[in-house]
Amino acid sequence: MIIIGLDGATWKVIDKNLDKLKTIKFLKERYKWGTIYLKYKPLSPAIWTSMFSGVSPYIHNHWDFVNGDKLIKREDIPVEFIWDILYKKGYDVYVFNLPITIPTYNFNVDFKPIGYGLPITEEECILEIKSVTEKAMEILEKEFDLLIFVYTALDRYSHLNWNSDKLVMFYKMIDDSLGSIFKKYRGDFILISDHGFTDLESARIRTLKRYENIKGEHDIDAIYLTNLNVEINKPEDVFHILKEYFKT
Amino acid sequence: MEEYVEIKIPKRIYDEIKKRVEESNEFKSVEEYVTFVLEEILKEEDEEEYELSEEEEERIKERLRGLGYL
Repeated sequence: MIIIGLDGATWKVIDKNLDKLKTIKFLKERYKWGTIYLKYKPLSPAIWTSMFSGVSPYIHNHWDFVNGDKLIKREDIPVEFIWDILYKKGYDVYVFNLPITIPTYNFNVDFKPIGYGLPITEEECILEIKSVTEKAMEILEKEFDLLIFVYTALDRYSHLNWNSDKLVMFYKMIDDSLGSIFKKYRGDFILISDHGFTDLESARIRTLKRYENIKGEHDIDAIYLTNLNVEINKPEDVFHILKEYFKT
Repeated sequence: MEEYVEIKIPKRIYDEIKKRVEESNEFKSVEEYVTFVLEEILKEEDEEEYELSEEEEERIKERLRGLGYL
């Protein structure tokens, strides 16, 4: 089973450009897909944590990468993740570049995130897509039970370049990477985002502290696409789907 | 699923662990106890690798500030 996270991906961009995004188009025409409308503030650390722990952000209370001036670490997050549970039971589980913390979190994988998991420049975003794909391809060579990884570049690029052709180019780069991954891997999968995006003017919420050069803002419309016969109505459902899948 | 291998440990350690396992309700067998302890050690070693220097922490905060997160 693989879970591929696309931080900040939204159908708003995908559907308008579906003919350019051949892999997602192929998957969308064949498998189950939907929108997850978030009921809480769409902040990445909170959502990825809920998705893989089954615990609501109102309970785990991990909303941000920092607490005051202190960087939050894995041990500060009071949850047991699905990989903690499965690893103890002897499953081969690999997790990398997960934005629950900065630097992004790895479990059982040696991965150096680009820009500590906060790629900013165009070059860094391109490098992240490349290095995440390479690491995923390397793990796909092994026998594994669960692989989870996240591309963060779309979030950064959507904040800075919402509604631009360049943003579509980044979606296309990720789509090409997904093409390579699915050429090699034919098993069960969930492709998912933590939140969607919209233009700054119409955004209902503010997630940042400063807005110089910012054009896009998080929205409550996260996406999913899967070959499993499941519905995902909230991020926490993913944890329960995985528990059921692995019969734990 | 995971494969298992046999390893040898001194009998005196085995006996000591067996005693602990019998006295506690947390572990069902010596194997479970040994696996738990070794996993904890390996996890600690992994975490040590990712310990950030003050300079690195500052660089991260700079990025967070640059993006408006901080």
